[in-house]
Amino acid sequence: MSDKKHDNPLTAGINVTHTPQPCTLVIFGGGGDLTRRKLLPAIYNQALDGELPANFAVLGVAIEKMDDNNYRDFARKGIEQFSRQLLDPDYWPDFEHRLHYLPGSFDNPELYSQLARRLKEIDANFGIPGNHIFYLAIPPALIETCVCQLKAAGLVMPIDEDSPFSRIIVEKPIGRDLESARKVNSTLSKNFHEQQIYRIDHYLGKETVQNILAMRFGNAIFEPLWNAKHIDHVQITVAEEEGVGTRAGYYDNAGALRDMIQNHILQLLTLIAMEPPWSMDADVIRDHRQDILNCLRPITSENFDQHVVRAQYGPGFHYGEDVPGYRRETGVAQDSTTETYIALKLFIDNWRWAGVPFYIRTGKRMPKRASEIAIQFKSVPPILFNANHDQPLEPNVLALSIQPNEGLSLRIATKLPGTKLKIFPVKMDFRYGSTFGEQSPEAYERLLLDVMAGDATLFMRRDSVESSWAWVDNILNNWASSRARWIPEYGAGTWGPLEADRLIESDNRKWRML
Amino acid sequence: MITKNTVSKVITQAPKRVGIAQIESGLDLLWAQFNQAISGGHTVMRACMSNLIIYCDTPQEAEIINQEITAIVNVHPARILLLVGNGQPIEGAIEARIAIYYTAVNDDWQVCAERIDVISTVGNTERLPSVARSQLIGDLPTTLWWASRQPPPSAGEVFFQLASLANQIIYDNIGWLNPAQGVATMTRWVAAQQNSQIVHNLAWRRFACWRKLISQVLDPQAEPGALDAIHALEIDHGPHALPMTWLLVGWLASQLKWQPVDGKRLSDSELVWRFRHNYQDIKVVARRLPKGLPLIYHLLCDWSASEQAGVICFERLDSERIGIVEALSTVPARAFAAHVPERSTLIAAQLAQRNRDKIFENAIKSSNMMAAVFQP
Repeated sequence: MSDKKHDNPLTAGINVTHTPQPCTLVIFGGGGDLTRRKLLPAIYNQALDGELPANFAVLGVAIEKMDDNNYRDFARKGIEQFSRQLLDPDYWPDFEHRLHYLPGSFDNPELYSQLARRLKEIDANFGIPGNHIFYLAIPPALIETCVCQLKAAGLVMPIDEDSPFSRIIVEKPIGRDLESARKVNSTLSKNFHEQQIYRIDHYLGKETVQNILAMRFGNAIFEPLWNAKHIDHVQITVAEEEGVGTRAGYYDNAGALRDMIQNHILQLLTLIAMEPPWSMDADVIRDHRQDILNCLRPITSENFDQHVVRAQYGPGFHYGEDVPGYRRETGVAQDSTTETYIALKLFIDNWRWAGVPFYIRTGKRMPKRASEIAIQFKSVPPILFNANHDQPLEPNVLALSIQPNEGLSLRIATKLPGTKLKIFPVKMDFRYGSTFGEQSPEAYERLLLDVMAGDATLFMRRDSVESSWAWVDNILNNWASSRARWIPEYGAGTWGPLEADRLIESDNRKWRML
Repeated sequence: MITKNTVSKVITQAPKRVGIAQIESGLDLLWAQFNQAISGGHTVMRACMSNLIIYCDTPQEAEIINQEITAIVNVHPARILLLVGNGQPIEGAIEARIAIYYTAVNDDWQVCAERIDVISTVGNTERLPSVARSQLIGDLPTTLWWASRQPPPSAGEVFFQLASLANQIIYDNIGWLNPAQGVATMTRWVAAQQNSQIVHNLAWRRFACWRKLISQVLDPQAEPGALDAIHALEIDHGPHALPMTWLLVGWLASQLKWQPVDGKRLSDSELVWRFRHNYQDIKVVARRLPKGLPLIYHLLCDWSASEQAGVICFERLDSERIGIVEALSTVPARAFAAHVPERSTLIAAQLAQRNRDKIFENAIKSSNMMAAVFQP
């Protein structure tokens, strides 16, 4: 929902679902990796596709010593390397003209005075009515400083229909447990109104994730089956093939639970499990997602080992090449017990999902990059085609592939051609990449556009972040109290430890082969 | 330019070398190029029924398999991963090659498959399973065809890791260097499997015609009492067909409730077993012929009793027929159609198999018992 109305009679009849408003995007951490790989290419693609408002500018703010021209070179290199569309030399001069840079230290109040002056100049040059979006692509420790300084410098406008807007985008992680998340949220709330805060989770910007709602509520055939009566279980897998790479400093203090489960995966879960919303309004959808988090059954110390498995990758092979184990990675403590893999069994205690297990796994150094949500339906009765008890028919599975090939597939049983009655499982496949001529935008493109349009549907609200942490804290506390000096290991390039296989196999189910 | 052909025919191109990490994108590119090359606005579907992992030892074996792949994918479009454990990569310790297969069906390009060859040097075979794991198409049935000349469990970790990726394991004991030991190793491993994996020996399909013939000719309606009265069986087989013969005897033993008592090697080319059933001994002799194909050539079955002769002798007449030898039999001479199938035909047929074959498993168990009593 927009925090400010802009009635423009000239937009009547123009088919736009999002109307981004004129604004300057200020990127704190404008010289960093996220900016170079994701944000600047996303902005460039939007500009090239004509999605951005005519009155738009970017101001990068970072510690690195650069001027506007250096920054434009930096942006060009990032776009050439990471943009989904090739850099158009004819368009580039117009685009680079909108890029600006301000060097400085985030804890220096003078930086914010300079920022205010610079924004005035840019707004004046580009006809921007004082609307500003502050993107915090910075380490969590700097959030408080940055937010307070913005407020102190008078850069945060009140929510008022007649004044320009100020919005802030905060990258995950929001805290590292419930207590620290509350602290970050309090800081944000003291300085910005909740309607101005956009807690970004790029997973929610992916085409398939958005398609979850379209598939569930835009088709008549799925929703009647979407409950405990027909669904046997759900599997969510987020597999990364890379190791910890250059993120060891962050990752060794975070681990897979904090890095993936608390945000991305629990958000996916809410979309899969939520009740039908009564409107597409951001807060209605977020309320329904929040209901799911409220229904998550806590994992307690009594049932912990049957519901949680953590592990760390050991040495192995990646595309046939030797790769070291986690503890041998640069920047990782040799006695680290940080989990690079986690498997969970969880339950949603509401009417719809009573008794349906949700199996979740995520890990680094897995055989391939693959993210998928699989809904496995119950088996057909053990008669007719399913009469062989030793070899039951494979049940129907609806699999939503989130990456790398966004799409969905439905596994069905069919008769093999021939005189004999043999049943064979086949997949009915839909892939965005091969069905539609148009390329899917990158997640950041969609999400940045949403912020410009004031649509918070795909962003996390404060209560959602804190509920996720409250649930995750149970697991963290159990680990902390166990004081384990060793956790199970899985070979790099494999699908995880034996303990995770046992977790699901004890229920007579299996992880899907991706 | 690729031209269309209205006759169904699999077409492929020379494999292209790619980096291991570029296999998937390389295949995408090949299909995109092919899509552009065909005219008429048809979209090529990368139809895949399943994943087929093939493991072999040498480039020479791989070359033979390459020729068979065309026949396999014509029947069963699949993503094929051909792993060569003792190969000669042009560069480095391991390399990949990719190729696509497409078949024109009527007016449209329809049936497509793709092949990924991964070649490693002998010291780097342990890397192959990790490549296979990353290249399987998710949520499709996966078959491992173990085409190596060593019995699968003897290969150790490479086999066990590849087997863990598969719903079905197909092996073929033709060409094993030490057949008796190989049969013992393999039958023990199969018997120890507790999971729902399908394990299949190609020999089982190879002698399917013999099973059919024996069961029909000795049917109690045709020869009352014969099945219970068998006391001698003599089998002559070609080189490399001992495991198949062993399995055939195992099948008879499991179905007719024969208990193996002992077995021994009479010479380099002759083995003998003694079974017992209903207090009666059954003697089984298997003889290897000095030359020929890996087939069963003669099978003599004797159920004579003191008051009545009962003998039948089958003989393979050619690659299409098996006949009853009248001079050695108490039943009239006849000939039966018994085509010797190509290996690729057997593989393609088995890929679609989704159920464990209890009769085969029982035959394996009996073979295992025969191995246990055998004194090499």
